[in-house]
Amino acid sequence: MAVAEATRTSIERTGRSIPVIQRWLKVEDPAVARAAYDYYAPITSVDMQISEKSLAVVFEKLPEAQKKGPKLSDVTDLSLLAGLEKEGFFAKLKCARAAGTGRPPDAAWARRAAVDRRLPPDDRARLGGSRPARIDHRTPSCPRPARSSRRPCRSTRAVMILEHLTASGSAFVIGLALAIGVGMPMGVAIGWSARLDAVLAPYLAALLRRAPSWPCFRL
Amino acid sequence: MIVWVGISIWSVVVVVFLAGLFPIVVNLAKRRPERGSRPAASRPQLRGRPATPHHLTVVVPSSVPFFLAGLRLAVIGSLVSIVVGEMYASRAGIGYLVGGDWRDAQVDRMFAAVLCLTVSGLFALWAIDRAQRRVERWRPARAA
Repeated sequence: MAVAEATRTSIERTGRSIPVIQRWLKVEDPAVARAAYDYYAPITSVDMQISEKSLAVVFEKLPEAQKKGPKLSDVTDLSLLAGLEKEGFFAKLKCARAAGTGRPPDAAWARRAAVDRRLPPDDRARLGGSRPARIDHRTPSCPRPARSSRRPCRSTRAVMILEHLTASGSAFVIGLALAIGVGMPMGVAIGWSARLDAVLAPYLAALLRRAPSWPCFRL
Repeated sequence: MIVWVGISIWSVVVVVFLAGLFPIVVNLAKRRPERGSRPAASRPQLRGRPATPHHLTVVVPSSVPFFLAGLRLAVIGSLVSIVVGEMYASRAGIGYLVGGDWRDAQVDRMFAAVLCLTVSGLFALWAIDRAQRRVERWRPARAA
């Protein structure tokens, strides 16, 4: 569902998508990014369905498989997509996308999703296009989403680093606490008991030989 | 490790545990000058009072400097291993971030994560140094 919504957003919001393409592909020229966008956007399916035609293209390179005449259902499990389709998820998604335009949702809509206000005026003039079509949630089949369903926009880089830092910190603290909890009694016992030392000395000697810098840290 | 624990935070925890365990054990095991020097009677016993456990009054306190030295090595080893562990066996963490940014050629982001890791390591070593100074207040000041 998230992939479908993200695909829809990337297709509709040209002005947002092109800077993202520029950033991740490290393309400085927005016209190049726009060309890539124009190529892929019309052939990208929001409902994530795989067509028989695309499968035929794949099987053209596999003559043995082509002889058996496999169907799409033989090689893919589309039950999840079918379930979402049954729930009307994709219908709502398409409806929201096409609302207000009066045009079929899947037909060359990428051409009408044009440059956003976010682009600089020079780039906007260079890229051409018109204002993007707004989604009209007031159509009968597409009720306006509840206010509570709007997610807060907090995916900043700092928050992401903080989350990853928290995950690493948790693993570090837990692992080190376990190491201290186990290592301290074990080390004290080995250092104090001659019997334990005799038992574990060969293993420690092997460790010391492999990592001679460990015990050399004297205060 | 991935086969045993799976791709989760626990695989990283195990890697950190193993990286931190041996420096601590080895440093504490090398502390041997007191062996065989156990006194026949402690000072409270000589005064007719019940004896305090020898390991609490002598063994553990004398082990603290060695423990802190081992802990310092354990922190360094753990920080290295946590990055490597998260690169391969985790879906979150600074190592995961560094690996992902490196694959995506986002070098600036990668160095931001590395900087966070560096600061964390410096902070951990600073905290150990503070603890060591606090524990070793009895020790005379070293000559410069």
